[in-house]
Amino acid sequence: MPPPDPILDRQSIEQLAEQGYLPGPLFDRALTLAGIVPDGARWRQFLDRLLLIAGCTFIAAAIIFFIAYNWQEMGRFLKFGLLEAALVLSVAASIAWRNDPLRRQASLLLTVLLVGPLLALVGQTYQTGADTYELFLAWAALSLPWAFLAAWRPVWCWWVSIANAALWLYFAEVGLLGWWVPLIFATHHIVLSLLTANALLLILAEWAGRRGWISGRFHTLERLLALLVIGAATFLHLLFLFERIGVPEWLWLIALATYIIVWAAYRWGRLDVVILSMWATAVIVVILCTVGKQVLKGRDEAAGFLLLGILAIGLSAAAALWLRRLSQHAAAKAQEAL
Amino acid sequence: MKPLTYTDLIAALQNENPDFQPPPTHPTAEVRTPWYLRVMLGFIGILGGCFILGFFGAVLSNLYRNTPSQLILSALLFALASAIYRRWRHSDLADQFALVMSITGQILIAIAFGNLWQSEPALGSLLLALLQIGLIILMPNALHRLLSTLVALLALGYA
Repeated sequence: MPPPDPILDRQSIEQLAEQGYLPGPLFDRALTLAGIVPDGARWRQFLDRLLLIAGCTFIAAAIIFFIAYNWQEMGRFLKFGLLEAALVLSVAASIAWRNDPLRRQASLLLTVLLVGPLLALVGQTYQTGADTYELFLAWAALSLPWAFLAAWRPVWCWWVSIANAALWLYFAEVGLLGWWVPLIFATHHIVLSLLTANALLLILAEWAGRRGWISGRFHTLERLLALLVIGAATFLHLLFLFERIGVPEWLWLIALATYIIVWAAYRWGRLDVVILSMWATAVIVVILCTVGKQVLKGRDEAAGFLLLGILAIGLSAAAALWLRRLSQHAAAKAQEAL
Repeated sequence: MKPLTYTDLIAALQNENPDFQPPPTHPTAEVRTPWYLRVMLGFIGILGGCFILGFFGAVLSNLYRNTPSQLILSALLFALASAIYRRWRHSDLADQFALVMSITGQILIAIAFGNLWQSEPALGSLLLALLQIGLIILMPNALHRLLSTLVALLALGYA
């Protein structure tokens, strides 16, 4: 059911204007009243946040490029000194701004960003012989305390990316060691590991989020992890469909269980239409691939392609209808909560 | 800032402009398409476009080698998509059907341009970008316009 008195967004106001109810100046005024065209204070707040986060990211990038460009001219002490000074300063800034959450969290984001280049510098200077995955693993491990201190979704999103890179590179690099390794780590083992690791992290993120232990808007961490989990489940299902040799039968059951759990958790637990939208996309892709494998086997390819095209249109339209209703339901709930 | 509801807006506008005539009903939330829905519809739309292209390729056996056929078929698909968008506004099924038809036409015309300007790919890309600008005007749909803008930018970048 749509809410009786809906909260207005740009599209609703544009729709009123298209219908001729808001000519010229009234349209601009409606946008300002609805807060869609921001006032001076909101512009200042937005620029403040943007410049703070962009500044932290650019400082990290600038230090990396400065060292890389002047690699020959700079001695090892200068390189280490520069990176470590930036690291110490970022931690000091986070302590100095302990009463200003955003600045403290942005400083800790810089700390997490700088840990990786420092480890890479150690590896390059002393030729430790470490594999790339070890760099990312150490980066993830050493960043963990800072991520806990920041308790901020953007920092955790970065940490999740580093941890996933470490896991992926581990399998990729260990897989290069010898002919026997593929017997131990087949593609489905890699995807299954990523699925398990990200599913566990998603459960932890939801748990921490409900207790208010992590801040940040839009549930970005949960959505990133859900995307990785749904992506891995879809990949497993496609492996089962198209690579039957050496792929166990139970893989599709794991993918199916993942879809059911994700649907139940985000439909009946915490309603998150963005995650359900990812879920719907994955389910449609899996249905299309399953049907496609059957119908494109025969001689009548034209009928098969037409069926798949119609199925894609029908399923996505049905999913859009369902998700739109859920979105209205979520909007109504949010309105009630105000 | 507290979100503004429809009633709040009408009250504020009437307060500021006594002549303001409020609409008889509030905008139906049915037509709202949030960004995540657009991503889903766009992604599946591209997939559907590839299937429909496969269908045309299977029915018209020399379609991929015959540039005039590609141009004619893509023009027909654009006309069909535009007509559907204009006739059945705000229907998910019709919108998605029109999007898939248009994407099929766009892939076909990209192949045709590739064939016609094989030796001058920059010119082909420029024309593809111009075509996308034409489609932005022709197709009255926000998702289609977003996709066309992205493709136009990519084509311009390549050109």
